[in-house]
Amino acid sequence: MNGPSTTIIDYGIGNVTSLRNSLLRLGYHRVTISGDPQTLLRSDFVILPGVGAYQACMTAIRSADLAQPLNEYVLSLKRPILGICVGMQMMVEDSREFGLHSGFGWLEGSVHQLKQTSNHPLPHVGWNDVLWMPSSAIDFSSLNGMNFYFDHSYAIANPSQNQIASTDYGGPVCAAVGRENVLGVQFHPEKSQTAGLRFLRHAIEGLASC
Amino acid sequence: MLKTRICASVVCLNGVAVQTRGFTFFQEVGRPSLSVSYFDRWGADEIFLLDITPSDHSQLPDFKLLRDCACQTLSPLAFGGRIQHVDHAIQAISLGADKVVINTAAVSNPDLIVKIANKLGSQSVIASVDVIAGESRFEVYDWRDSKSTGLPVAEHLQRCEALGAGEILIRSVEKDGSLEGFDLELVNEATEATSLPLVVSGGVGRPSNIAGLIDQFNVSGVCIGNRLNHVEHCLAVIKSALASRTNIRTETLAVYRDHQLTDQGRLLPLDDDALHELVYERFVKEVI
Amino acid sequence: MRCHRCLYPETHPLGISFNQDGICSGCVIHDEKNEIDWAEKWNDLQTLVAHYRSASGRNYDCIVPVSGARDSFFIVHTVKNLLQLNPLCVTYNTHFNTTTGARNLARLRKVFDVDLITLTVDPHIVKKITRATLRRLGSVQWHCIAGQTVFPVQVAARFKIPLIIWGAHQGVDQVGMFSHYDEVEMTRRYRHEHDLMGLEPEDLLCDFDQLSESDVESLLYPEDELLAQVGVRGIYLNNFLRWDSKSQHEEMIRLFGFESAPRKSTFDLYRDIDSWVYNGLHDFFKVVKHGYSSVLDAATRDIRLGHVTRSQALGVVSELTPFECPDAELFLNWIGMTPNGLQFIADQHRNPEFWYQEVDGNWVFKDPLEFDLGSVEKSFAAPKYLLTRPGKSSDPADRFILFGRGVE
Repeated sequence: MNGPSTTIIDYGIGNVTSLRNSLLRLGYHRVTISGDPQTLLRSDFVILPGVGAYQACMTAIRSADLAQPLNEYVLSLKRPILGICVGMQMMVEDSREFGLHSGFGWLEGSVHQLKQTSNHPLPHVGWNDVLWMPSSAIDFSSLNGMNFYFDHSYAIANPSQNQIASTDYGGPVCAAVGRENVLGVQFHPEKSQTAGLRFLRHAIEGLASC
Repeated sequence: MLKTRICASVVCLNGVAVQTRGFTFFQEVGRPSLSVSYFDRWGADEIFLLDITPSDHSQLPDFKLLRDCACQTLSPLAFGGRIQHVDHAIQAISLGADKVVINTAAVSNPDLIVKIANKLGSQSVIASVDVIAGESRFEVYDWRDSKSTGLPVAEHLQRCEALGAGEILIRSVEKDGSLEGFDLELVNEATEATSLPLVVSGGVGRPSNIAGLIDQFNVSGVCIGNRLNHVEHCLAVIKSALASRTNIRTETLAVYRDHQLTDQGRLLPLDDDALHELVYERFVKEVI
Repeated sequence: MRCHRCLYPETHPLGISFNQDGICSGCVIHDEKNEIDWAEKWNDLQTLVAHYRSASGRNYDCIVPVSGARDSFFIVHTVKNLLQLNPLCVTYNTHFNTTTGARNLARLRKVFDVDLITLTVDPHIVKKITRATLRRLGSVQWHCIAGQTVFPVQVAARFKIPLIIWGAHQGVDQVGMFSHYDEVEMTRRYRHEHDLMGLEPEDLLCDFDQLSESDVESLLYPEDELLAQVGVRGIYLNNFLRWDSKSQHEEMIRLFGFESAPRKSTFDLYRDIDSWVYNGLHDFFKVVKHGYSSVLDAATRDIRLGHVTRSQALGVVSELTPFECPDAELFLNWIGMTPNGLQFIADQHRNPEFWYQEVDGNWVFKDPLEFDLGSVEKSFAAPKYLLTRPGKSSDPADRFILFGRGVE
């Protein structure tokens, strides 16, 4: 099976090659890395990566004229989208990282800095185990307790009923959110080896059937 | 809970992965990309791809090496070797590295760490410090000249922290390739000197070396070198010995659930009955 | 650059390094043999294998990969008689079997009283694979090594016999890739890169070579999870015994009637005498790709072991290294190729480090093995190898033997 025609959004930020390698390993061959709005709108599945500063990412997306097509893809066409790390953070309403910056607002919530202590310095970087909630529409329960790779200093502070996974770093941290066609993860599945591959398989299969 | 990382180092000399002893004796192992592929498969929490090919000031980092290796792994990759400019770091990240490792430049061009940290974030810069025991203290070692710089290690670590490095990789020259275990005195000094996450390298011969270290010190990770080439699924076997600890990631392709190990960390067989049971058990390969 | 002590060049395909005295890593690691407490190592080996002895006797204690040559007699003797283990011997049929090899393998079973399982892959598939590896790698031996290194692991995984006992680790033995103290064990990674030259069977699938998944099924490595479940381990006796292949073979000739055979392109009458192709054709391709052949391997081994001096060996190596394609009629008939076709393939793999092409199209070897020895004279004096009288069998002496009858 070649899988859905998938576009990994290329807006000049984030390493998209590892993501593509993961998808190829899973046997999904119809994968494009593209910043072209038309390609995005024609896709069956979109992945929105993102690393670094929230504002820089949102600005880059707007500069690439991708904001409106993404809104159309998600809100009008209602096709599946997976956001990774800052890609996930951009899905909620806003972020408090170095000022107040608005996001897409596809899901409720706001991005705040994680609490920093001497035992839990920032960023939260490394492998951490994730607990998946039964409320998730996609069944990720087989991944419970598995470790994923995190690298961030900010997280969604109030994900409300959209939260579907959490991890612990000096307190609970939102690890994943999802509703209908929108799914976001704070960790990097493309850097999480077999756990990441398992997650991607479940996510793509799960979202394709929604 | 954040896990203690069990990392693999792939040291490269002239494009070939090598084992090292005391930073001087080199034994060629083969293609770095194959080493990276297998270590990733065996469960490395992170791979340090370190190019020690000597150069003159004009030589770029070996981006071809990085490119060949980055596509072989689905876990974090740190790349070091001749990174002398912020643009080198940016390119390394775009080619698939998650972090860059700065070694000699941390002494000769400390501003580089500042610039990279500002541009890419502290978590993308690892300061790598090679250490040799001087007359009365630990000193920073320059592997190019094969001698001590005279710089006290504790001072250097604090400088790296102030410059904005996100992490420290500390390597003991004497313990390198010795298979004798870590230099715990050095680890003690390093943990006292800096609050940055510390990855310790040099001397792993058996799982008890790692257990002893992580039980005694709050380190972020350990880095294993030569030993990984000696035994099938080495990382998975080592992790099985540490599995009782909750701060270790044990998900790998091959999980040694029921096996005991010798003191040296070599596999022991299951008992007769268990092996006999396996004869009648159907093995189902997991397809992700 | 070439080692000042043995004859290995810096271009050795396994990778080699040199110290400031110009001595190669292979010689440095070989010197460990003079320091190691072999009695202690033997005790370590006994302790190791004791864990694998089947308490109930319901299963074999270990697997020993064997052939009609290559220290097989010595390995089985060590495992069965000295370590008192009950081995299951396994062998991969290379298809290139000589009558001597067939007799040695049959004799091995009888004199050591061991069980043996053979894997013989369909000749049609073996030929397809060999055509592919000849084209892509310039290798006629690939399927032999692929089979010899995987079949014991498959049997270990399937029959739940975790311990495999091999003879010498080639990386340790030739280039000192590992120290004896590392006690390196078998890894798929080593096989992938160094035994199989970077191509695993899955990588051979190709429409051009008409190779599909089912064709390479028999050579596939068992899954990682299965190996972990059983706890498969491959150890090498040369990490525990002072390895000296020549002396070991001679002991086996004396004690158990191992047969040696005359060789064209080397003075070593013991190794690889079970294969028509290893002699001659494989050697020629080795020179094409790496600038030396197995006679240099043998000379290096024997220089290090003190059976011959470097200057004595040089003459032999110069004389016996095959720079021209040998008569390969048997192989060409077997694989269905013409001599021109074989020459064409060889020419695709000429290493420009060692060969250059003249205007008329002839290939010329750059270094006629004239080593810089200063005032030391080169002499022709091969170490003495014992040539035994050929045994009697009804197998043909002048053809590849697919299924040997061996001895009565």
